[in-house]
Amino acid sequence: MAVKTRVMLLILALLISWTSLNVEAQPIALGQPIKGIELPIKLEIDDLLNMTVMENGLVKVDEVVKATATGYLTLKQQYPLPFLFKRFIEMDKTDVELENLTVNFDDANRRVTASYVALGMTAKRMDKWVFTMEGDAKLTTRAGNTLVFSKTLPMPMGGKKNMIITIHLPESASDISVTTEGGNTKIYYRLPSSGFGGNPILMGVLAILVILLILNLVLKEGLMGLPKMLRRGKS
Amino acid sequence: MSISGKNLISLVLLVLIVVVGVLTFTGASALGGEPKLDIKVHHKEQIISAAYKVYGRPSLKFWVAKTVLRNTGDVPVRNVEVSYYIEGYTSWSTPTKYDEIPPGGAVVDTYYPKLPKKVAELTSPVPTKLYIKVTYEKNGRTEEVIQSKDIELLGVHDIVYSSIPAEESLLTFPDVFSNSPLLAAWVTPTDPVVREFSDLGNKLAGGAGASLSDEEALKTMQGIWQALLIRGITYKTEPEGFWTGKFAQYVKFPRDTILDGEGTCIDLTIMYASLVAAQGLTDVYIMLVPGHAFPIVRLPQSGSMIPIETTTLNQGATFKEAVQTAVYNWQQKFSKGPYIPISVKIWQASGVTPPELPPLPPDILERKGIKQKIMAVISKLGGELRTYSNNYFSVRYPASWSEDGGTDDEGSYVSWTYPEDEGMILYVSWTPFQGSLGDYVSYIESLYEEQRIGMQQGQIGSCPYIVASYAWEYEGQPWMSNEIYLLCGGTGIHLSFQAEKRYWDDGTARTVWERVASTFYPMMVGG
Repeated sequence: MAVKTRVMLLILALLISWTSLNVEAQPIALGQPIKGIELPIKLEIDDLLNMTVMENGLVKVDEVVKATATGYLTLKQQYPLPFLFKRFIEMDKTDVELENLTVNFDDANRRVTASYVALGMTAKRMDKWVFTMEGDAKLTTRAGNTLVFSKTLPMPMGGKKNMIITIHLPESASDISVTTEGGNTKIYYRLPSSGFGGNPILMGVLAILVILLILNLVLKEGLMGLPKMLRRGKS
Repeated sequence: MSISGKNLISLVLLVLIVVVGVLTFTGASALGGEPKLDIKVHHKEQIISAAYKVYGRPSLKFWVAKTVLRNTGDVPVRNVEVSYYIEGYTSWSTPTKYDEIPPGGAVVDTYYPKLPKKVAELTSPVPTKLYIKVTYEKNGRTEEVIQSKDIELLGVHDIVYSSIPAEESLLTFPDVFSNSPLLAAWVTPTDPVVREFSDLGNKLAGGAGASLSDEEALKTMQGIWQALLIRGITYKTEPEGFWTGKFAQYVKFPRDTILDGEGTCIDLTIMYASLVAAQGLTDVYIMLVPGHAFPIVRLPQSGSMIPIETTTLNQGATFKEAVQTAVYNWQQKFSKGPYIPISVKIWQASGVTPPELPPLPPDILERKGIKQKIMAVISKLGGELRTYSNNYFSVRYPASWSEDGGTDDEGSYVSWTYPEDEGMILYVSWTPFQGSLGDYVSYIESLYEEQRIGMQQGQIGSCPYIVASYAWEYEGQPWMSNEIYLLCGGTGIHLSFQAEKRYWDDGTARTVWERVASTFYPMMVGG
């Protein structure tokens, strides 16, 4: 059995004691007013994402997460190791696959940096490309093919993360529009058509063949007469 | 017929153009390569039937399958279609179409099936198959790939707390409980059984309008707690789980817990959340902490979060004790984390809604004798409570009980007696007292011949107090009492609530005690 699986089973065995906890009964409270509790975590995080959309639809992402001193400490408690930070990044990327993820904790500057490639954020449908972001994001700025969005997400244990998402569409992208559909934010754009999409080498060969055919038909003696014509032209 | 050289060349060129053209536009060629599609499918191994509606709501992101299609070739893959099918439960889904996946590109396709109602009728896990069909164009033809995966539809009471495969799990608390929001599907405030029981609790509270104010909300919460005590709901450890290799649990719907009279901590939490939600206190949470669960109710005015330790039902704790115990446990243990607060209001509004439960006879609470038990207590309480206060203390008492007062061996006193048979008496005395609280208790105890059966100590401001229980016989009938001794600003105060044992057994005395103890308050509390 793999070590990880064994660790998992050990943890599960500990957790299975779910119902066996003995709670500590407290003495009667008489007429004192009932006081509640507060969830201690008021985490507020700034999450800056820089997304570069490539022509093949993959998205290269550089993410910087910043917090106050207390917030950073809480964040590190929740995600103590870089590999655990994956869940923070995935929070609003359920329908996406992440690859080549690297995460670095920069304790001195109270920030976490991450970079990865996101698969599945774009797709080509009905002749248009569509970039999908989970949740309702607000378009704040647009300059050429760069769009800036903002959105806020609640954190699982309380608090929120404020996201600023900068999206760089490919330089050749045109006809860009932004909509909200089914609770998600979508950016539609077009890329120059790859024509019929044929193999470029074969397309070159095809073009030469067509030219040759035309020459053969146009010249009086066809292609066979071409060398004679060239010699005549020299003399 | 002979063909000239020119025509022969034209013919050859034409044939070559056709051949190369076909190769160019179908994508295949020894020179260029062909489409290569890499297909990777993630899927949920178990479907949680109680939350079957959730899987059909893409906004909730609980996909059943996630297919990653990657073009590893060097020509585009065109006209890709992906569809899914769960054997015995769905038909093939409408294919999702992708015009083109460029070389090096990828798409991620997710499956959110609309499962049929019959899923909620499953009483035990049922194995079946999930099929994934991918078609795409290759060399001018349609290529089809079908994969199948084993999945299991769980019984309607079963939950698997995580659907993250072991090899992908980060083993953190949120990962191990990644399905926990689905517990909101067990919260059923509109179930007729829950509503009727909740209404009985609210009647016990004197018909409070829970959502109007914090005070009314707390009254309702207390009334529901008292109804649960009268019903005799007990906390039990899970007798029969099922083992899927993941952390899993059999979770009862609130109606089952009410009718069975017992439940685990998660059952009791879900039941209490449903009962208060049925009275309009919809901002409720299921709080998960390692090894435990408890409900939290957000009060309508102040927004204060009131946790309730529902497992103290076993000890017959008062509502205040249940809250105090939960607050203590939170402050001492659980607040340090990890924990997951599941907002029933938010998740249910997002679409984590309960399944259709089978209809029960409308008089099921009467058939089980539950309604009669609670109604009997309501009738003995005689409706509203009234407040008595003087310079030393204030307390609330049943308005219909007979009042008496004067002086006796203990000092000045006031008392109220259940008028039907005098089987319950609430008595409070007060007297100037110089000495310790222990001396005061000894002095009062010396006046009677009762056997002390329990004692707890506490403090309100600068005033120490002791809560003690006694048992004795009077005219052949067993009696029990709960008593509070309090020393405050040089005055000894003694509150005694005595009742025949039968009234303790049927829940009436406990309900009166809860109300009295929770409203009894000395006037000279100090710092």
